[in-house]
Amino acid sequence: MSKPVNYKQDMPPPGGYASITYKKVPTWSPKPLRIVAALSLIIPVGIWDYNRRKHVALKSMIEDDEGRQALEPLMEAETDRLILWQMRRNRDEENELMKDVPGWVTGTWFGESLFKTNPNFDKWVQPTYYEAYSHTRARDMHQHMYTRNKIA
Amino acid sequence: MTATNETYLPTYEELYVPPLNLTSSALKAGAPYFGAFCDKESKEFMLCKAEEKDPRKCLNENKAVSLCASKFFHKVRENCAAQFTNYWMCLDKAPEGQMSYKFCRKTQLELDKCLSEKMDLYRPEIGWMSKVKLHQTDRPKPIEKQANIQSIPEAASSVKDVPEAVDSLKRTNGRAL
Repeated sequence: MSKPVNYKQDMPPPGGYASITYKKVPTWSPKPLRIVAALSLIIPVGIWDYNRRKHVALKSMIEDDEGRQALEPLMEAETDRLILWQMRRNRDEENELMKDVPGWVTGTWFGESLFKTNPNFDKWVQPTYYEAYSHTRARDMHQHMYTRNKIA
Repeated sequence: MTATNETYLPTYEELYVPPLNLTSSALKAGAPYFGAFCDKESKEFMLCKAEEKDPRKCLNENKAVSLCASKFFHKVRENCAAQFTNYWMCLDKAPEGQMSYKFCRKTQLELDKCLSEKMDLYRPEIGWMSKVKLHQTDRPKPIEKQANIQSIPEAASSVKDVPEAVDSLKRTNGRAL
């Protein structure tokens, strides 16, 4: 019961296998002293450049800020005149509105002034938004108060 | 402030100043030059506001600032309209939405040149506006009045103990409550 043997024995190639590269391949690296030399050049240059950019940005910020500062007196002047104009308008409106109510005195609660020591507002009291907008619709006031700076 | 009829308020005619119809980018474009041009008026107004703490007493200074601004922008329009328009259009379209001057150095230089030639007006160097500056004025310093405060009485336990409140209730038929 023996079959004829029909196979080929797998053998190494002629001349043998190539040797396995198990030894560590030497890699290139700069000398430590050279690293120190390069860093000592790069770091000061980087710091100098950072400071230069910071200075330029700061200068630009200050310039923009000064533009707004220059306009501050103009804006304040316009605001003040607008407030005084609106107060006069409100007073005229109140005189017109409450003329039929007996005992009503404008700017007071039936003759009782808002401030005891400052009854006729000889000392200035800055009006609040609600006082300035007292004769307008609430939605107009809120639009002016909250959405006037909205872009588009 | 709820003004009474005895409260002093300037009339509409006293408050009127020809309006300055300018958009924000034009104002921002002219700001450094305006600061140099209207330096005296601005300082006078801000000093008055700081001392008097009352816009009614600073109305003349107030109007001087607005009139000076009008005068300045009209002068710029007469002399350097093209350069100024280029500059504020550039600021209007500048990125970041802050109208920063750093994006418009080219047009700024042209406007600088034109203003210095025709109006003898120079853009102040950066940092000038932030400096603390002394200001000589002819306006007398206001005398601060000592507040005449009487001694405050003890708080009443009931509304009916306060004669003024009872008066008020009578006058308003109880609406004050």
